[in-house]
Amino acid sequence: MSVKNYAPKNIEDLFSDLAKMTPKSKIIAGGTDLNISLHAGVVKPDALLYVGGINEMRQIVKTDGKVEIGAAATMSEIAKSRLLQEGLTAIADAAADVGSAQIRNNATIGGSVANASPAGDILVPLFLLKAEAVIANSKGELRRVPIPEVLLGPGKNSLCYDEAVIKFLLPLALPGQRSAFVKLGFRKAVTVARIGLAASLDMTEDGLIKAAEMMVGAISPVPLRIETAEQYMLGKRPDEIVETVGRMLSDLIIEKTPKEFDRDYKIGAACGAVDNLLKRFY
Amino acid sequence: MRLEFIVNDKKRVLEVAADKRLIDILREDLGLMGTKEGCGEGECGACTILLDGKAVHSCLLVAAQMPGRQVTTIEGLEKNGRLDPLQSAFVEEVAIQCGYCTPGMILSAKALLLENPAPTETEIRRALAGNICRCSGYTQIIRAVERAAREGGADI
Amino acid sequence: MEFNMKNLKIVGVSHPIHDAEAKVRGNAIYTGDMQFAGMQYAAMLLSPKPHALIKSIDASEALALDGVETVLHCFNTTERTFSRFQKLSRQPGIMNQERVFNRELRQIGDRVACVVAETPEIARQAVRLIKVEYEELSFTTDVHEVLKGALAGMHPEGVSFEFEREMGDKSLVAQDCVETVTHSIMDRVSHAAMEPHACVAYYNKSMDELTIWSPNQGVFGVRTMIADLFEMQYHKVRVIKTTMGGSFGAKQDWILEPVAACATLATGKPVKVVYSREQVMLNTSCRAPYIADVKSKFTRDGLLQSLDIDVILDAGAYLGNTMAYIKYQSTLVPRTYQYPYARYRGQAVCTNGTTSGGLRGWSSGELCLFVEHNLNIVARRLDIDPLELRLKNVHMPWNKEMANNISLEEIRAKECLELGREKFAWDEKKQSDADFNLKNKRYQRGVGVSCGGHLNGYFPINFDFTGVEIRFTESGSAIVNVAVHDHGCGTVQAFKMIAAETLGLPVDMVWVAEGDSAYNPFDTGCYASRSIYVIGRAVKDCCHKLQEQLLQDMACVLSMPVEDLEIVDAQVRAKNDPSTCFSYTDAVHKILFTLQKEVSAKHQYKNTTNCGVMGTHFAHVEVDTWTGMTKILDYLAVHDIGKAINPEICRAQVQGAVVMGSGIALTETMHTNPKTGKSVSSLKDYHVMNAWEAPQVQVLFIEDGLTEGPYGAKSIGEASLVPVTAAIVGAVNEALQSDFCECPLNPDKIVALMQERMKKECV
Repeated sequence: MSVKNYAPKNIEDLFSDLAKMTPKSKIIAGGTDLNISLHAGVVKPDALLYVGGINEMRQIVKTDGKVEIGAAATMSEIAKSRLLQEGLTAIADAAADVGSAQIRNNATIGGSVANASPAGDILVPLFLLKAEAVIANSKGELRRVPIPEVLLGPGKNSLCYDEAVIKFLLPLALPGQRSAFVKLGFRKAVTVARIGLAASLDMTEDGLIKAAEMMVGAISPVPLRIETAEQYMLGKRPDEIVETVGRMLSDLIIEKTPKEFDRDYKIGAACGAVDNLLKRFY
Repeated sequence: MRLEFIVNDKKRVLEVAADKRLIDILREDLGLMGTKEGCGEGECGACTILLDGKAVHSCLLVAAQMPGRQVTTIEGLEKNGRLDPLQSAFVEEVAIQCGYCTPGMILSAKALLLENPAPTETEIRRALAGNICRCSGYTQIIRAVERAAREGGADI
Repeated sequence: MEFNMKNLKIVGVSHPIHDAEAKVRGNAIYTGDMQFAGMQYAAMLLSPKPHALIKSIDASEALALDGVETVLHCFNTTERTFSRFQKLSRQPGIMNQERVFNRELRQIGDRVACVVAETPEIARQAVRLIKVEYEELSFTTDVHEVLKGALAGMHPEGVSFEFEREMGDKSLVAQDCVETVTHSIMDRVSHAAMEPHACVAYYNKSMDELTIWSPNQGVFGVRTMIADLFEMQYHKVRVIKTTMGGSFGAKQDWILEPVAACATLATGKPVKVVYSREQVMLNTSCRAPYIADVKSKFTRDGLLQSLDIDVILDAGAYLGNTMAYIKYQSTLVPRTYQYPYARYRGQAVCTNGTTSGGLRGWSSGELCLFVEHNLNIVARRLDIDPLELRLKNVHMPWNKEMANNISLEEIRAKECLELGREKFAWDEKKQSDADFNLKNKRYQRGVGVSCGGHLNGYFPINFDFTGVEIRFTESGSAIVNVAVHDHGCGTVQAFKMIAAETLGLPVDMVWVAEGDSAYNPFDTGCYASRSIYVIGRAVKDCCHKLQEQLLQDMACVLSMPVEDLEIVDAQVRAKNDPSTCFSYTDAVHKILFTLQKEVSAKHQYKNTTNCGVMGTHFAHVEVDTWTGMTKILDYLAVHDIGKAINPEICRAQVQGAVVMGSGIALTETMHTNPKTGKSVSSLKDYHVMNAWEAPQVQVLFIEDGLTEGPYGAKSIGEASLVPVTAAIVGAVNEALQSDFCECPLNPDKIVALMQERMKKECV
């Protein structure tokens, strides 16, 4: 049986095409993960709804108090966006670190969230920066949902088959606030994260940390905050806390990561990841 | 589905399954055998093509994503019987051995030069990081990209 | 030294590979690109079980799918068995253990069935509809378990094979030696040639002729094995070598050829089989995992006295080449260092892991790692610089090796080491690393050096001859007919250059045919680094013969004594009369019309030497002790290449070898999960180095042109991989002051080592 296909050009058409979706249908943007499953015959959809042709789903724009990233924006577009600097750098960092140039040119932020891979680089900064997803449904409605409520676990999201994320909203960072993302993979480039680490720091003029938020991905089904570290950092300089924060991350991994997910390596390498991250702040 | 798109500057209209991979469309329906499959999962880069001017894996795209888009394959680089400066540079710099990675490698380099006509070695290495060459140590390939950037001028 | 090197116009000048222009245009035709009218496509079902018996196969649903031609499996195909390693008719020492489709499946990835259909897509769909009932059998991927008796009966001939030999004279070993024992482990490695395996076959029923096209390293080997398996006469099977997208040894075992042959014999239609990457990794071959113990004896001032080497090789499901492999390895033991005595014991053990085969260097690289690692530890114990220790012990020119008592001729190990020491700034780097390491906590640096080489052809282990035919065309160009198999590394171009140089022609006036068993003179195949050294030499000799023939024929035409004629600049001239002068094309026409003869020559060359081939490699690394990532800061490879026929290709090959060997040292593993028997089978998890992380590699060649090879050339393609892993592992161990040799030394292992150290420090 042949696969139906829909390619709406605007949000209005998207609403009506969503109404044609069945539980077996798939929404496709970059397709960098989905198409492997299609070819392997693991996924056999009755219809493909391609959202990459919807212009407003590809844009990155600044609106009142927020930056909006279209769900079909590619990693390359996110990595290069001038709107994602200073406090929002972490998200550009993560996008720039995804796979190869070919993957970055095709993979989208919406696809990454929909796939919900624990090792998805972009998820960590989305959590850290308190992103919200704007979700469209077949009834023509839009709703805003915080990221932790969209992402439920490995390969699992809370989207219904007739729903699609159309964009992400990121609150603008405070002046002086900076963020960064680093990852440890199997190698230096074109690699899947074994630890994805992001922080958003607010620092005094003499380099002391005033406010801190820190998240880690790839050690558990969804990204986790490292609350002990966030507390500990306050009033200290980033360069003097590397080993202690490293130990805190190790402890979190010991607590949260199952052995078969390279726990031993992650425990040992945590300090290196923390060092790489904190170096971005001094 | 009816697929209408541009391949190597020519409009093509095909009847294909919506979930047929672009690489299979190129090779089976259009006979463009220059695009190679090395892994089928976006890890080796052999199947790289240009999609609207950007390097992407043709093994990770399907027909449903293609309507109205512009594809350039290795066969589309030669213009008026003249090799693209990258193609000549790859020959002259001895940047080719088994040749299986070559089309994808050249197209990744092409995408880079379209965006950045004078890349540094580091930029070249990063742009080609998704294209595995098992024969060489990338030295001659990088040199070829540098040469094409230097000598290619308006042809790039 | 001078005779060969002077006045060369083509040899020694860099040229692109012969089909470079086709490759940049994307119109070089690989097997996967071939198309015939009525072509059928085969898709494979591979075993999901590490060890099982097929109880039944129900292919009815697959057969019912529109477009499916047939489904082949163990119940409807030949029960005869073959060896993927068969190269010769009546080849001694091989075991026929595999069927085209096995009933007893001995590894994940063993061939269960194949669908032949009108399109690749239909074939793949149909594969998913085949129902197989398996009876699971106990399995293991642990060689020690097998040696204790597990898997007894998996192969009637036995599941392990042992080979032991002594070399030299034990009584000459000095007393009062320092004995050092080291232990090394190497994990399974994939060739990862970018072109996945493919084969096209067509059986013309009315002619009873089977033709096979595949990227293989030996058309006569494929012909022999296929004809034997399907009980056909050798002249009824024609094998044609196609453009090869890299081999590194992966395409020297015959795996898809029997499948495609079986499919076309069954259907009478042309059939194409193309493997996916996963199928390549699971069903073709890999480099075997190794466990090795080396015991060395050195005098206190660092003179090597004896080596005692014990290795266990995990052959995987089928013995394949492994019995030959360990025997071969033993002959390599005495080719680097000069010492009185060695003992080698190798065991090839079948498991339910992925079947192994030869990979670039054919056991040399593994041996080099085991021995060089031992030397590094010895150097540390004796407080001798690792490079000095090697200088004291490497072979000198014209030494004889003790395995076969043949001369190593102009081996240039010492010169390689000395040149490398200077150009790499070995002593300076050691000093600056010491300072760096004192000041740094997270990053540690170290240098490593290694010596390793390879052979040039089979001599004297196996017979080693080849045949060549060369003819002049009427336009004065030359056609070289020789069973060459270019792996994609430029052999055809090198042969064209050798022939052009010898005949005095421009390179594009020479055409070199590739392997075709119907037309080529017999040859054993392009393995064992024999292509340039043996076959290339035969081409050169044949060119001389062709010129002699031309002179003789022209002497006849002109009624002149042949001694009065000579060939200068592609012209036949009378020595004493400049006006008697014929271009090749004119001479060929004269002979054609006057004598009714084609100018051609035929030559068989038997190789009777195997000179020493040495590479000394120098690596400088920085280990991130916190994340376990190793960065190669600098790398130098020095080789005594004899003569680089096509220098830039030679350099590119060495650089490629360094990147491959660095991967093997640091990142590449087809690790097999002992609980499931499944090996890594995706490039997502198998980390080949990319352009971003590949080191800059400097390459230096010492060229003396003094070998029996053409224009004094020796082997390089395989030899260049041999020392790499050892150099990198040596450098990592130097940086960490550690002594572990478990390849790959990936971040996991380095971090585990650092964690262990921290724990010890705490206690």
